[in-house]
Amino acid sequence: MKQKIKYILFIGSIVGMLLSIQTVTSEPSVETITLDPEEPEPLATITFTAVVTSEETINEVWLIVKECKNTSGQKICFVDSFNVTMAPTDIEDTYEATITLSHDDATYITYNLNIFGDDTWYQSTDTELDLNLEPPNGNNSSTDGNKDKTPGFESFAFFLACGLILFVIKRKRFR
Amino acid sequence: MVMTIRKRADQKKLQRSKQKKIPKKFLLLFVCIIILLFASYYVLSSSNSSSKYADEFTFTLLNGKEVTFSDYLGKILILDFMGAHCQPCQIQMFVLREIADNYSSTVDILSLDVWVASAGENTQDIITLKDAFSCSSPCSAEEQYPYVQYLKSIFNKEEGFNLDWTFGLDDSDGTILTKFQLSGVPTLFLYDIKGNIYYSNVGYTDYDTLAAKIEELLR
Repeated sequence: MKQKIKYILFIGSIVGMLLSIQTVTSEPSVETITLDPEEPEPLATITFTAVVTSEETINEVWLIVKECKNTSGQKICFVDSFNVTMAPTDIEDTYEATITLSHDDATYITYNLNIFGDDTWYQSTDTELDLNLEPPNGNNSSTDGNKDKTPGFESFAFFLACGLILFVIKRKRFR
Repeated sequence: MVMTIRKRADQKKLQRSKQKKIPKKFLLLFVCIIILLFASYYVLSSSNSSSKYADEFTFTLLNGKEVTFSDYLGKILILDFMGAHCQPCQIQMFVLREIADNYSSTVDILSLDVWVASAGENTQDIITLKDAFSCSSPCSAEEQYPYVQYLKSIFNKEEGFNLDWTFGLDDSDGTILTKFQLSGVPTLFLYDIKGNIYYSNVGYTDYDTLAAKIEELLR
């Protein structure tokens, strides 16, 4: 009798272990999420490419991106986050979505995936990425090409205005 | 003859000027009354604003029940607009926990997730967030919120703590988000006992600032 109970317990535990393995493997797994460009700047257009594997059929993959700001003055995440579907690509298990960031004062983004498969939603871990806030290198560092084309123009206008004022004052005095 | 006509004309002028002076007085009096009426209306309306609850709206509790915001007024109230996956909001929870500990009898806290419409957050997200805060690190709930685990280690709160105040959610249309014209989360509103907004801040609010504002209300 004791032997029988031992056998039942042994078989039961093995079945339990197998079932638990099945539960783990049936959950979708996010293998990688790559960004292009890898170090995006504020307002950048970013293409997210995710590799998601699963034993079950994946129905939908949603990309959620939040723009946030972490400065000494303010810690905030903007409310208008991105919640977009990722389209499957020609490469197996690979999904892609492109977004354009909308806040020029954002300092970092957080992103994660919501995966719908087997009638269940799965959520991947939040990932944080600091935005590249450094100005681009190169000889032409100005963002506005027309800005410095006429150096000293402002001072010329200033002196012209001063001259005109002096001229008007002198004329009044002579009268 | 000419003299009498002139005298009459002068008398008429005098009468007219007298007649003109009286309406001026009346005019001044009228203006004073109008000012007084406006002033009294303003004073009365501000003193009765507790019954107006300009920010009336409904939201959904974690158990699915729909409730009205004004039901939560009557004590000093911190209305915390947040998102479960918003990192600054997660830092804000540490401040709110401290406020809840130090002002338990005088201040209520209400955290509302407004990232429902834009980011698709739901009840389960908040439940998992609360679990991530309350569990002893490391735990499975923290896998979804690794930043919470990081914060707990920074603030030496690895043993976890409860977010035992009321949590709720905006609807899928983002009605509350639109109503308050929120630009970001966290955004805090501090209400006095009459239901008037005493202080608000967009972005993370530190403990000292928030506690100072509460103290001002308690004076």
